[in-house]
Amino acid sequence: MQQIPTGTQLVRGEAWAIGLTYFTVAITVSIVHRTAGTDPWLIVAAALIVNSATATLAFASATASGGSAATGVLSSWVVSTRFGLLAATIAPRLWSSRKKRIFAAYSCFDPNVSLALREKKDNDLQRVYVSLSLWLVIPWWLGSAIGVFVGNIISDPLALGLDVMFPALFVALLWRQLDHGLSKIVGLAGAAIALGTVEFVPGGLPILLAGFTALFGFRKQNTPPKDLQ
Amino acid sequence: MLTWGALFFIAAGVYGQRLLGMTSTSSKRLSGPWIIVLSYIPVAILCAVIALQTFTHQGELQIDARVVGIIAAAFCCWRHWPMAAVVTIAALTTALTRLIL
Repeated sequence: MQQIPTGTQLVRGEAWAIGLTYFTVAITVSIVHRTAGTDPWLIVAAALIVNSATATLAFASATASGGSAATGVLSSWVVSTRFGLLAATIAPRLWSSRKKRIFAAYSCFDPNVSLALREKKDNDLQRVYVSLSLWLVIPWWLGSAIGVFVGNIISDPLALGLDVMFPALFVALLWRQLDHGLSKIVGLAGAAIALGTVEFVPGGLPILLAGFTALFGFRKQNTPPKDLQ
Repeated sequence: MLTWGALFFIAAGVYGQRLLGMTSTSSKRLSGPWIIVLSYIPVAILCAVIALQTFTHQGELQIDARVVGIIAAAFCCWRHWPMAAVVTIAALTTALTRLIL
């Protein structure tokens, strides 16, 4: 299996799978926005500037259900809190240069943080983070632009099962890490908290609350997730 | 519907949170236990996202074809199949289940 960048744990197959998933999901998100009547240029701009599907979808969902624009913006901020947490997770091992971190913040997603954290050496972690960021962002932009134009052809992305691609990708990303005892507890507790609170608190907060299960890490200070050992 | 004004507010909030996270922590300021705790955050968050995207629809719990797709994904992972196969088979299984149901 070819490693990209060389000497790291990231293999070409993983990068392709992540890129294809983000490409396909971007097409789906564009179709959803297009169906809601959003201007095509605005959809492309959202992909470039916001760089998050959940944020723009949260806005669309809140306003479609009768909420004001301010409520929609607030919803988008709440569902994006996980990006801040993920950024805080990887930041201690990234470059000390503030300028580099300002650029790195733009492409902070779940897969690149999760897979970069597998690396033992900080230098390898930084290379994987940069490489995967490109594998995420470029397909995301392309998919968003293409989705605007093919929106009329693929009228029902759900019929193709495209809505499952994101969670399926995350299952694949997590699988090896859940081999570790404490990781299972943290993961299952996080999922349980999210599902237990989703009907009672605003969107986004269940994920934030789930993040608190990471505090179990204090109980076994010397056992990080398997891939980080 | 998304507007240009809303887009800029959304972008500022999303990037602002990423930037805050990226610039507020450093290895110099964090002790060992906190670094371990931070390493578990992606696990907790990804599990929560998987659960929500599989078992909820518009903020309400719901069991549908997506569950079958995720079970198929887990099976593929258990068999150590490539990530691209995991994602593709999950989507196809979900689509097929929707077609049948």
